[in-house]
Amino acid sequence: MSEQRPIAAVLGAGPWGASFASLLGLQGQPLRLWSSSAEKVQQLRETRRIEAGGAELPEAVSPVTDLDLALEPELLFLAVPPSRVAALVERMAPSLRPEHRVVHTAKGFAEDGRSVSSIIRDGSCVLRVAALAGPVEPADLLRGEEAAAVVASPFAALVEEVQSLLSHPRLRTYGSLDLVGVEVGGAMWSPIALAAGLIAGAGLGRALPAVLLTRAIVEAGRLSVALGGERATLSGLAGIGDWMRTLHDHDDEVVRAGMALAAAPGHCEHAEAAARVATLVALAERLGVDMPIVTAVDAVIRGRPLQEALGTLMLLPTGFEGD
Amino acid sequence: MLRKEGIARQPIDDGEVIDDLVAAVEKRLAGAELAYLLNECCFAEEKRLGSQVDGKDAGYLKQLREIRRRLASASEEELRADLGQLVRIYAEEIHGHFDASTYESATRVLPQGLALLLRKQRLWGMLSRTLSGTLSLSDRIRCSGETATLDRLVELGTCILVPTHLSNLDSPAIGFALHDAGLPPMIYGAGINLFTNWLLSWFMDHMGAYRIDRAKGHQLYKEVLKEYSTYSLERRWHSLFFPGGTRARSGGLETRLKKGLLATGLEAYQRNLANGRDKGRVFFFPATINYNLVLEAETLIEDHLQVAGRSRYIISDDEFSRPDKVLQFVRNMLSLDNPVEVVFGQPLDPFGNPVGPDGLSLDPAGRPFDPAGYVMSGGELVRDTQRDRHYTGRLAEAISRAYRRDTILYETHVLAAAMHRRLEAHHPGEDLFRRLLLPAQLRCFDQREVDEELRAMLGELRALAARGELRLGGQLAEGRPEDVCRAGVHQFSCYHSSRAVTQDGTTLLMEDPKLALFYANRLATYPLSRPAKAAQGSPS
Repeated sequence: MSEQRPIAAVLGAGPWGASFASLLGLQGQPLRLWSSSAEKVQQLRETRRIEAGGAELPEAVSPVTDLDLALEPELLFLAVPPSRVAALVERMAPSLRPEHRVVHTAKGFAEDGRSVSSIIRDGSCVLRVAALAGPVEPADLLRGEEAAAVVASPFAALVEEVQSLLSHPRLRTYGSLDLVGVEVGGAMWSPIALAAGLIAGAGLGRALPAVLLTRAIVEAGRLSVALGGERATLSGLAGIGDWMRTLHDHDDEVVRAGMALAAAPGHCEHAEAAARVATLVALAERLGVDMPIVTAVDAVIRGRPLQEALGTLMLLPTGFEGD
Repeated sequence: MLRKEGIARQPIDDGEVIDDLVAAVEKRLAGAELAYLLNECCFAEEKRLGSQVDGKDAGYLKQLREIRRRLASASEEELRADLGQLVRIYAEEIHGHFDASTYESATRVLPQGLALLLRKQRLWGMLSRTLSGTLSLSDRIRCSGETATLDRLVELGTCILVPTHLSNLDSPAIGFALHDAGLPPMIYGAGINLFTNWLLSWFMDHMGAYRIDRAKGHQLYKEVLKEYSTYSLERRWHSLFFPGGTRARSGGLETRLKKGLLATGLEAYQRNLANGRDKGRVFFFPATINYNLVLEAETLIEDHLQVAGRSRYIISDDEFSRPDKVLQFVRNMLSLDNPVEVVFGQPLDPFGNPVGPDGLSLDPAGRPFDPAGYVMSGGELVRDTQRDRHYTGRLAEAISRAYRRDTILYETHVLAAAMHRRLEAHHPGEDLFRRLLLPAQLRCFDQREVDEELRAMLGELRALAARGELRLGGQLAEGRPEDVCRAGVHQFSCYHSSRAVTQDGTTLLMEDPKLALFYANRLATYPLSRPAKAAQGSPS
């Protein structure tokens, strides 16, 4: 019997990618899950179990290591961290075709300040790119929790295609045409998660988490506008929605790194999150965008005592709220 | 010798073209609300024509009034009939009447005519060059860049030239450049105001020009115009659009391009795919037309600076409408050291990707690919207007980048910019409009100060040129600041009724700051540092 034509492929079989593939596979539609690790693929094939929560990998999901095989479907989900996107795109590029639509799930910009969608477009012939974001962890969905996500692309047909594919009784997927705004929301996630950890770790006031989120919307909105996106997107699922989920998630490794950082400024245990914050600061400087919260988090990562950084923030002149 | 490609490939049956166009527009508007469309058309046209119209327009106006009167009660069939009538009127107006023999004769006669102009000036020199066979317009209108690729791609698909636009001389200049390079003729849209002179009109009509009436701003006319362009491209008539829409009033590079006509390239490509047409690819060639002096500069900058002028889309009373000015300009152009230079950029596909010499699109690493997948899925063509708008937007951005890269700056541009930068440095608190009104004594600068400014600018411009981000003409690449200054002052003395910059001993005067602004604006899109602060006590 010939294998059914796969409708999509998930590239990256880490906890997020494997859970996401499982979630898609539950619909019964055939898809491929790619990993560069032959060992991991072998393990997935043999055990049919994924690492995150030990959920079952549905039969519809075929784990593969052959990249060309993974790139056969026209719809691709890129489930790798921002720091690994450029290398993966470079590897995929010779086999990518203009038919391909790529949806990424990365939260953050690359070291040179480019968004993940830019890396994909600048490194291949693919033009139709989307980002999937929001307060959604596929592993939670597999455990039976409800969530919502947003898929954003300037291409409305791609947004609708992903919405239709992610139709699930426990997941509501909204659409947006503001890819830039959604990517900025994702890029702000690391500083917010670290800041949430700092607040919790230092036992700061109960009002500060609320101040953090509401001012982060304004700050991220400025960056979004500077990059050609919209301010309002940051008030949605990819912005405050995602950040709120993180705020009290003390199991999250980045939040925990923030809690540890409160006690030991200059020693961030999560190097990738620290690098994402530094990238954001550099980008904001280059664009002339004022981002005091991100800058303060970066200062603590670089060794400035938290109280001092907070004091500076509190003494900044205030203007009108939306400015 | 006429190259039998594009519109010159075979004789054209005008009646067939009009019938095809009417049918295509009716198909294009199949799902449209015809009553609304016709109402908008009639209302706009009646308003445009007013009540005082001549014989030809009187009949048209009567027809519009009749259509509008019966709109409310008209059946779908009657609406379609009315639509067909109006579309036919517009199609007949737009369609040019290319004639291969006229084109051949004109391209033979034009260089000789211009040579005659020259003879008046430098008889003996010209005569000797004519006799030795070296006198050629090629000396004055040079083309460079991807001409060889254009030469190949006209055989492989449909080519669309998309040049910058500063002057009404652009079309003849690029037309000559194409002819001189052995390339086939291209059809191009020309403002209907240019057809007022019967002789010029006859030539333009038979040399590939089609008419665009910008005063007709209603949707139905735009649909006919877009269909004409799409239909032409489907028939593999190579075309020329000015995506800036009109001449750049400010003198600056066009950054916001009109996407309506650009989108017809993608539409034609998709129709070719749907019909399985051979050689169905569409290639865009950005081009820059570079002058050190611009015929209509004075009128254009005046319009740019006047709020009312910004909406004056059609200029019918500029220098181009005065034969003596055109003659003087051409004569000056021919006698100046710097020719008109046309630079053909790397071709692009309708999605904004670069195209290689074999007609295949190239990814960012230069790998060739077939772009059909952008509009096809599973082997089927997928129509999606929202998606196509993004593709055309990407194409427009790629064309704008090519304009920046392939623009040639001359001494006139850089000297004018240097003078304006000094003026800004001396009056940092004043806005542009106030600076333009400053008295002459405040627009004078010492030669050393201007040379210093030029030195700083040339350093940055040469660095940009070394990175391939722009091109430097004349003495800009290697000349000393004082040489650049001298050349600029000399060139400004050659044609315009007033001089942008003059020199008296060691003092430079920005005599006409508006005219200087026109030339300075050519540098506006390039990232130059702020001018150095003015020393106290200056200007002189």
